[in-house]
Amino acid sequence: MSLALAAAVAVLTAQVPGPPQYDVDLSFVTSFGNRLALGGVAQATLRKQIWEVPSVGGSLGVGVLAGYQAEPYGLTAQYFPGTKLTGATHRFEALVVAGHEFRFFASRRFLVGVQLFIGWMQVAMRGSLSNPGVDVSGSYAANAGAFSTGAILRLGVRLTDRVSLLARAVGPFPYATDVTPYVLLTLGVSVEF
Amino acid sequence: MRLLAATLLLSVSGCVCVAPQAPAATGRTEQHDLESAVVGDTYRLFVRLPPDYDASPDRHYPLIVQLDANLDLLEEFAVTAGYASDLERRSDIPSTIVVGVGYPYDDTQPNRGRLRDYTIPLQHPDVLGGATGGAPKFYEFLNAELMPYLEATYRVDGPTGRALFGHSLGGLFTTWAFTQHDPAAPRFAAFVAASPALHFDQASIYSHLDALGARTSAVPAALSMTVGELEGPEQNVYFDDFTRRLDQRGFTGLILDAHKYDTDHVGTVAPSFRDGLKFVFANGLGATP
Repeated sequence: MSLALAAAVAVLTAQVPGPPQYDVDLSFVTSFGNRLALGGVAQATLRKQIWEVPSVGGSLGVGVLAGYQAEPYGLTAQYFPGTKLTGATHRFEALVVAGHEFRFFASRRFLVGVQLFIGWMQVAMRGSLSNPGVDVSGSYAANAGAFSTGAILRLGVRLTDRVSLLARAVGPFPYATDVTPYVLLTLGVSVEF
Repeated sequence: MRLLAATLLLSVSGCVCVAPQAPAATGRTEQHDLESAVVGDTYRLFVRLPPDYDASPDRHYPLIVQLDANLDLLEEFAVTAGYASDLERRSDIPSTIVVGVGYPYDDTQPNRGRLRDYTIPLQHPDVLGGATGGAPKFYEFLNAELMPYLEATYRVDGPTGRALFGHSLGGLFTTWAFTQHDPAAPRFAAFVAASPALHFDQASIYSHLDALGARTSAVPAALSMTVGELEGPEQNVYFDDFTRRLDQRGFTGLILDAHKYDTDHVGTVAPSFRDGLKFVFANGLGATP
């Protein structure tokens, strides 16, 4: 069975010679979790198409992703009336990614891909709180970092020959850590070189 | 946005949570539904009896009352019953009965009961949606309905052998229950308040602490309060201030332990209850008849 699969891949690969391609993705990021976040991620991917049939092409890719998000405490202030909250959680990611991508239709206009990632996530939390009603005032700081693993679902549509609109969901898998209890949603452009 | 509001208190619903891990419970586990005339609702009770319970028919056991027993994802009864089993096996604590108080609701209404029962009397408008300030009624349920039921059904110690454990809103209720201490009729001898939502209702829990101080200067109890370093300022600043004021009041007989864990809101569940079990027994739970 595996021999047959390998043979099929070899045939398909042989049908799609060509140099690797480079993708650069730039995206705006929000997240859903126990905070609201705003930020961005940049990803560079080296991609090689390895098989294709008339309506679908498949490629493998490896790359790096770097990101930053701020989670301003003020975005949740409405739920803490009487309390003044300042500051934010600052979140950084540096990840290595690898995965497979499908491109659909003869035009290869639509892409669906799944990537796995491994890397470091770091949070730096800085803020203060005051509540004159109970005479409480104080500052707050915490830092933490952790190796994280996860998966990225990529959905895209090609807008021009080189530019695609790209949406991603980035989530921890199989386990979240204290530092990565989030699913990041990104929307941006992917430029192919 | 209501989901966000609830999440701010739970910090559970919206995150990709790491469910608390705990050893498997030993002994016998039972489940009962108990109707409350005081609250007008039915509670689901989860009871863990230690392995030596049936073989010791004359012995009474310390009682841990765990709130949020079957809250989705956290499963706090399983955590505390599991750690009680493990610590008993290591002879770190004596044989103990753990009773989890939960709800028979389905997963679509995980916050209905806890928002009603664990929220302290409202002094400001509710911003969460569903918070009723029902803590006094729930406290009455614990004392006037649950305890008599447990005393009639199991061999549980009296108030000097009873502890109350809660997390988040449950931790807020636990802290509030501590402030309700009545020297003439103590209900619990020990409290473990993990990541208490002290910010609730503009931090009106402070007024209950003040009222306790005005009522008595002696609170013979063990109180463990915990928080996660990564929970943000609304949890950490209030925690630092509240525990400092508690300490400064110098209540006679109060043994206070304020501890921070290097984790987030969900991450405090397991270590708080594990260490809380050791703390309450090391500080006299059940030692006085």
